[in-house]
Amino acid sequence: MSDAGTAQQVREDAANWISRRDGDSWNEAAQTDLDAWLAQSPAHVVAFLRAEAAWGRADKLVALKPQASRRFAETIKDALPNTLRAVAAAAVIAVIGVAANNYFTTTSEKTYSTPVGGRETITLVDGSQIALNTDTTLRMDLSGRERKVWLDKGEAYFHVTHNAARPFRVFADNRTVTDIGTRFTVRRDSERFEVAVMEGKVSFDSGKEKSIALLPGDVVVATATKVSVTKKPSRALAEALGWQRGLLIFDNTTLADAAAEFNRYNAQKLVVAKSAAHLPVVGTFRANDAEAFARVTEQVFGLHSEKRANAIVIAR
Amino acid sequence: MAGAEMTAASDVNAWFVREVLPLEAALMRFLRHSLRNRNEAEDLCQDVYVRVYQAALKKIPEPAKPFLFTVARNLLLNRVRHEAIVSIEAVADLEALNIAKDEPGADRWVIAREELRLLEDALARLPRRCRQAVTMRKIEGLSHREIALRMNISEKTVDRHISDGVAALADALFGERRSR
Repeated sequence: MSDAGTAQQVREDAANWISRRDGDSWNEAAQTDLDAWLAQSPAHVVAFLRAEAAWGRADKLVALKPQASRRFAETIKDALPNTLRAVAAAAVIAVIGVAANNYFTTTSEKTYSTPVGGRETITLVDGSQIALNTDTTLRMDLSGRERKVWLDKGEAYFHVTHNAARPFRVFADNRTVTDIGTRFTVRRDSERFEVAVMEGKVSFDSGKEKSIALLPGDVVVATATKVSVTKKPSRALAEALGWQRGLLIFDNTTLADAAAEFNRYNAQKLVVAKSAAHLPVVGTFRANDAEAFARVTEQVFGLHSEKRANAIVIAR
Repeated sequence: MAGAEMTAASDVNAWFVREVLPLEAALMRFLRHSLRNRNEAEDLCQDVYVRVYQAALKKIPEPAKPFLFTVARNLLLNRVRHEAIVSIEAVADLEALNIAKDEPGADRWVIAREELRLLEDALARLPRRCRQAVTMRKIEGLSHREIALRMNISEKTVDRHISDGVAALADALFGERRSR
């Protein structure tokens, strides 16, 4: 053991110095005391460097800064597993460009849409909430006995206040998702349709076969030719909801799939060469910063990225 | 002593943060393999850091990783030699653990990739009041004084919460990975 004291004690002392220096009462006398402490032992110096580096890197936490709609944060909070709950309190949706255009002659039907990179949250009079992800269009009609939503494109998260007398249905083409008191997401890409259930129960009707009852953790993927149901752990579902905080969270996602996710959010598209497409990506990224992601792939995999007009090409 | 110092302390500090701290998780795995408890491993880790740091003040060893593990191995051997009860296993392990020196230098990458997630997880694990204080400081950008008012506690208590947060976040970022 070194003469500086136990490592644990020294680390605690170092953390104390960092905290004091971070505070409002820091002055020249305190700095002199710190300098003296650092001069006492190199063990103090290395412990201080370690604490200082960690506290500096913790600035990244600002990525979780709330931007709007405090109330919706509470909704998401409940949808996340314990490990993420604390930060979820601060994790809120940015309400970007509420573009509620009424394209239709029926006054009861309303259209909501978000541009590429946009997000929007709608709160209904019954307390239900709908969060629209990037490049999404949906229509809503709440005038009838049933609450109806048509997802024309994109992805939305639904937190529905259950009302047995007024079913909540989401339509996409000939497919129907009926809420039975729940939280779920519906995503519609050009050839693929996906429903993921976080809580409660929903019924899914592919328009072809009998309807399927879905429980928490169930994920349905439907293409033109088939429908499959898989079970995902709650952590994976929570990560898939990262977009509500402007984040993309990957856990062994292939580089090609990760790039495709980024491309949903950005005009500047990522193009991944075939030779690099299979590389596994782990980590959390800002959805609107494809350039930063490209830089990370350079560092992590030693790839090269090249900026072109409207695109970043990533290759070996 | 001062005359022997060839490298500016600021360069050594930057090098230490950039090259050595990211190796801590691997170093701790190596040390814990041969030592009985975590405290012993942490103490030895501190000793390794001190030796490496002092050596760097004379000349920065490049690359850092083999040097760090050579220092760790020598300190472990010394310790085994001086211990009243020498564990044969421990000595054998030291040889086997030469492998650790050849691990790919993936550690830093892992940090780059997962840093925000590690921070989020560590924040979520902090005790409630401590977590509130760190959240107000780092996410909401409040000063210690503002946090004290908001939480209705003294600035000294805020300092203590932040201090606990600093220590926990440092362990999360540099220490051994918790199994997930």
